[in-house]
Amino acid sequence: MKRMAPLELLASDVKNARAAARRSTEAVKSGQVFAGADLGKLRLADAAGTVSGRKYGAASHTWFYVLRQMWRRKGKTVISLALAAVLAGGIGALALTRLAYRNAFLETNVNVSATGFASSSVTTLSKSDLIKDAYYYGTMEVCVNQADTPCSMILTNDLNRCLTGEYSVTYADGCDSTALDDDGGVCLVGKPLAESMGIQPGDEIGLLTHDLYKFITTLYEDESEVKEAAALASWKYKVVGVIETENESEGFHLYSVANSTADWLYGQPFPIGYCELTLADNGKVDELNTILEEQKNAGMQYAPVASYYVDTAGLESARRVRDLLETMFPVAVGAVMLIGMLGSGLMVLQSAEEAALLRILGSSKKRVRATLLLEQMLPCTVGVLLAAVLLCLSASALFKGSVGTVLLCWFLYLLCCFVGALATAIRITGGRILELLQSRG
Amino acid sequence: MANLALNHVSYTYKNAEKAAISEISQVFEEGKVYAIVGPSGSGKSTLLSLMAGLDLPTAGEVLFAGESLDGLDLDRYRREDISMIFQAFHLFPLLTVVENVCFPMELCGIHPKDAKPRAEALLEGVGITKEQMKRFPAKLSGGERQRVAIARSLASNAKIILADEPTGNLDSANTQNIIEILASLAHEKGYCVIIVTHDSEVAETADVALRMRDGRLRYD
Repeated sequence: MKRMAPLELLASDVKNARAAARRSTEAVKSGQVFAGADLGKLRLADAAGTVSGRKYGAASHTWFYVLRQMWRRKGKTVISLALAAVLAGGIGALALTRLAYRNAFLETNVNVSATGFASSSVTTLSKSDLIKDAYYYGTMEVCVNQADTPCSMILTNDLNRCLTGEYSVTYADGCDSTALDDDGGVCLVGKPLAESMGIQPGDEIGLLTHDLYKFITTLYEDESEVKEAAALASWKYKVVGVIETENESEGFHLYSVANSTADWLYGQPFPIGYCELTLADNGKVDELNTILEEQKNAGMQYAPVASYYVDTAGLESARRVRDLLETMFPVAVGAVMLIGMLGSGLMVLQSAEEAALLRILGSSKKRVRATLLLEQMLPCTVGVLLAAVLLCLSASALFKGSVGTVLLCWFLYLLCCFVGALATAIRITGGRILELLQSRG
Repeated sequence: MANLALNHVSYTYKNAEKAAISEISQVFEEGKVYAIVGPSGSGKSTLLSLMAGLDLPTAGEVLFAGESLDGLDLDRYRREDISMIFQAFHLFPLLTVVENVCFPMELCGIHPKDAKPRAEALLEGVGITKEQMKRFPAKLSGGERQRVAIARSLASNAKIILADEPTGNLDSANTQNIIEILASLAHEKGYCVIIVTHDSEVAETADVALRMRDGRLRYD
C-alpha cells in the first residue's frame, strides 16, 4: 500500500482561499460586493464568488442535479415514465371507450315497426315527444268524381320514402308543401291521373271509397241516380298540387295524409298498413312500450290484428357494455390513483439514503424535498404527456369529446403521485438522518 | 478559533425512559485529533448527530465558535462549518469522483466550472489520480473511496471534521493511511478532527481519547 503524498496542494489551496478572502475584503471595503459579509468568518461561497463572478443558484443546482441523476439512473427513470404512460394511457383509453359506448347507446336507433294501427293512433305516436322520426303508409281505394274505376289514395307523411323515384309537385296558387299538413281534405293528384280526369291544381274533387260506391250502385239502377247519390256521399278534397313522378304507375294515385278527414272518408279510423317509428330517447324504451300498447288498444276494432315490434337488439348490447364501463371507470380511476400514490412513494423511498446524505452535506429540507419531488414528478409528467400524444393521434375524435374527463383523470393521477412523493419526502427528510445512513451503510 | 463545545448536553429520545446522552461537557479544539470510543448503544451516534446539528439537545447546548447551534442556520452550519466522513463512505453513486467533491461547493453557490479545479486539487492532495477522478465510486477500492470522502469533507473549507468509524470497512494498511491523513489535517492544517470509533488502536493514535459509556463521556 503506497503511503500518502504530502498534502501540499491543500496548503496552496488554503493560500488561494486566503488570497480570495483578501480580495473579497477589499471588494467589500470598496463597496463593490457583499455588503454585510461577515469578514470575521469568510465563507467559501464569498471567496469563490469573487474569483469568477459566476453565481450558481439553488434552483439551477437542483435542476441540473435532478436531470443528471435521471439520465444516469436511466432504468429507474424509464420505469417511472413507462408506468406513468401506461397508467395515464390506460385510464385515458378507458375514458374514451366509455364515451364511445355512451355515444353508441345514444346513437343506436331503436326502431318500431307497427302494422294495423288506427290512423289516429299513428298520428298520436308520430307527434309524441318519445318519437324523433315517424313514417307511415296506408292505401285506400277511392273513386274520384264518381268515376267507375277506383284509384289508390296513398296516405303517407313522407313522399320521399313512399315514392320509388324522383318527383316534382306543381302546387296550386297559395299552396306549398305545408298544405298537406292541413287537417281538412287535401291531396296531391298524380299527373297522368289529373290529365285523364281534367283536374288542375286548386280544383276541388269528390272522393268516395270504392266500397261505398259499389254499395250505392246496388241501390240504384239508373246510372245518373248512382252518380247523383255518389256525388252527395263524396267528401270534398282540395287538390293542392299535381305530382309528377318518375315511376309512371305512381302517377295514377292520389296522395294525402292520415287525418280526421281521411277517417271520415273511410267511415271510421283508417287502419294504417305500415308505420315505422324511431325512439328519441334510448333510455325510455319502457315508456315507448307502454304507449304502443295503449295506442294499439285505442283503436279497439283493429287491436286484435294490430301488431308492433320494438328492435332493441343493438341497444341492449351497447347498454350492457356501457353499464359495465360506467361501473368499472370509477374503480379504475381509483386504482390508478392509488397505484400512482404508492408507486411514487416507493420510488421516493428508494432515494432515502440520497436524501439523508444531501441533508448532512447541508441541503435544507425544502431543497431536498424539491429534489426528490422533481426526480419523481418529471418522469410522471412526461409519461402522461406521452400518453396524451398517443391518444390524440390514435383517437382524436373521441379524445375531443371526452377531453374534460380525461384531463381531470390525469390531473388527479399526477396529484396523487405528487401527494405520495411529497408525503414520503417529508417522512424521510424528517427522520433520524444519521441513523438512516448508518443502517443503510 | 472555530472550536466546538458541548455544555452540559443531554438528549432523551421521545417516549424513552432513559437519556441517550447525559450531561456531557467537552471542548473540541482546532489542531487536535479526538477519539470517542465506546460500545454499540453507548450514545456515540446520538452525540455525532448533535455535534453535526442534525438534532438539538433536550438539555444544554452545543456551541460552535461560541454560538449556540440553537440560534444558527443549521443547514449552513453543515454546509460550511463542519463536514462528516462515514464508515460506509456515503459517496453519491451516480456522481463521478470529482463531481462528488464538487458537490459541497455547488451547495455553497459555487459554479461547477469554478469548483472543478479546486476539487481536482483536493483529490490530487489525497492521492487520487486524474484517471480515477472520472470514475464512479463503485469502481474504486475502499481506501480510495474513503480518501475521496476526505477530499469532499475538505471541499467546503469546514474546519471541523466528524468521522464516524472512518476505518470500519478498511484493512489495516488503508486504516493506517486514513488515520495518517486525518492526523496530518489536524496537526499540519489546524483542523479539529473528531473520530468516533470502537477500535482502540485508532483511539491510541488520537491526541485526546474519550470513552463513551451509558451516555456519559469521560477521558480515557
